[in-house]
Amino acid sequence: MKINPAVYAVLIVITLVCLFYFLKPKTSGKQTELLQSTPPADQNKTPSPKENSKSFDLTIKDKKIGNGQDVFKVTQGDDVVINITSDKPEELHLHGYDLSQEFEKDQIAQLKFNANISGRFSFELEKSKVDLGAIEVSPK
Amino acid sequence: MKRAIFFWPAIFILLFPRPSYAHAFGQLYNLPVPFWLYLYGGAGAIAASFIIIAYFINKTTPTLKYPTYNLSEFGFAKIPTKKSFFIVLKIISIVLFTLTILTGYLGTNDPRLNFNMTLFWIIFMLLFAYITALIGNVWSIINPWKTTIEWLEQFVKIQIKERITYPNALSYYPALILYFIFILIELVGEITPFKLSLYLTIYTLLTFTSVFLFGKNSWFKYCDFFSVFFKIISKIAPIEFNQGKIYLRPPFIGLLKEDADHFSLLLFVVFMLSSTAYDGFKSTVIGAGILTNTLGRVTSVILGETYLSAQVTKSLGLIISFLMFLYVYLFLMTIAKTVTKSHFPFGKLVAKFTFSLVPIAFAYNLAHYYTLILTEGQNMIREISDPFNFGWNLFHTASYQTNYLVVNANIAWHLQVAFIITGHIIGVYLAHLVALRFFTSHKKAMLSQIPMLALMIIYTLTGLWILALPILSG
Repeated sequence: MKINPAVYAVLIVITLVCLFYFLKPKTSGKQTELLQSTPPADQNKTPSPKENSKSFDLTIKDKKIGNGQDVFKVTQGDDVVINITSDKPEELHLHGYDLSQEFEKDQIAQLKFNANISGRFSFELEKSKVDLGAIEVSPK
Repeated sequence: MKRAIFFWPAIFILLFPRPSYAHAFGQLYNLPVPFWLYLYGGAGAIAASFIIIAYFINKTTPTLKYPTYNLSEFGFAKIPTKKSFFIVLKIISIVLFTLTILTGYLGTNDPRLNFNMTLFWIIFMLLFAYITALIGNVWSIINPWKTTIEWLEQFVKIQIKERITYPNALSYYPALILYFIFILIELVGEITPFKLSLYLTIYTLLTFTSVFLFGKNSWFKYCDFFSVFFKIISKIAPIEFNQGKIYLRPPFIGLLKEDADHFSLLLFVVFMLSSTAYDGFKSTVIGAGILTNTLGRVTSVILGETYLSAQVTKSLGLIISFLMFLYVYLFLMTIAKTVTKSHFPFGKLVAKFTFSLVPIAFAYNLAHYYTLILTEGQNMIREISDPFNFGWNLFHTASYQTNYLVVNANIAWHLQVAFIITGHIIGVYLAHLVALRFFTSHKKAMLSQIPMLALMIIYTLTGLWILALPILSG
């Protein structure tokens, strides 16, 4: 029996669609587990005042992150607050969102923004041109 | 020869300079693919493979037949057959090439702000490659080095003849070596606009000298890696030129029209695949960790904990990843030869299946880099108004601010996985067609496809795995 090649193409499409349907997580808004080797970002998180706001402490010592955490994970739509303390005056620049926050020695400065776009955005010490880490904004 | 001793340190410094910019040009804003999508990609690729096997179970197609549709009757299709059209394209190509070099020498040396970085890396190496995959080998017509030589020949009315016969044994090895150096510069060279112009100037001198010695046909067929690269990519195009007419054909079918004519071409295709995979891998937490804890330890013993040591580690990683990809291919082809008891020479067998790897290599490239066109590509809007950074505003776009937030992570993930699965399906399909044409017995053809399928699945899962790994910060 001769089967039309188009039948096989349709079969492939149906298989891929079915697999997608069954493997896609049913719960929306929650990030699925990634292939992880870094500790979850939430460990060092300070208590959030609102459900959709996330706050992180960023301690900079000698142009490096002092508290070990260099990737902050948030969900799209979160209000993000980064509390910056440093042993030297500098400026923090967040790429993509193109936000900057200057800070003085041993004084807490805050970088606040709404993470309305998903993606991975690195932040650096603007004047020293030193990459510190990244903020990963997962889609809703 | 003595003079060369003075040049090497300069070349070494250019290849392994001190870091000048914290975040390099071409930063990706992609998130790692989520685990479920990674699983889906793997499962989807494997499931689709079995349907393809089922399709080929009773199929025998010793000759390559495919439908074509003559586009020449349409008015728009007549334009590319006109000589004046080619002349315009050639002039544009030469102007842009000259501008790329001049802006690197005269403009700012900040990679994020110079016109030549966006034009060369994003528009030419990515967008133009994807356009080539859509419309065919335009590069063979607009290649600025080739055009300059041809116009020079016409002007002085002398044809450049080869002074030294190109050694056949060299085949595509010069292109492979030059392509390797090019990727090395891209990955570890901390390229700046000035250095890009300098390298292009050196390459121009190399081209003219080599054409003078070996003739233009040999150089542009075997040695100019841009020509080899775009010729391979153009085989994907659903457009075919035949006797002055333009035809529409099934995409990717061009990969079956001819076999790789030398082992070195297989190496070139494998390097296209491995270098893209390696670029992604070295930027992941696991990849960087493996590099530091294996090769890094060896290089740091010899060179100390230096920047140079880190760069040498990355370079060695590029070579080792290539050897690993090649080893997997050759190992599984050895199995294919054994199970089919084929009497064909091994070299001929491995060359036969070379181009069936191209869809996977192309999918790797698309999945890894396509978002750069949407983000870094926007720089062109600003830079075109002031290519030399002289303060011009030619098109009133000099103040355009690049919006890096245009790529939605969700769409990027799904497209990345879709590219990889599609590349895999096409690769498996093409390999089966090659097998049916190559092996006289249907049974042998199908047997040969078991290791070939394993190979495709390994390459595909590797590509997906790299996309899903957490990315290195800083």
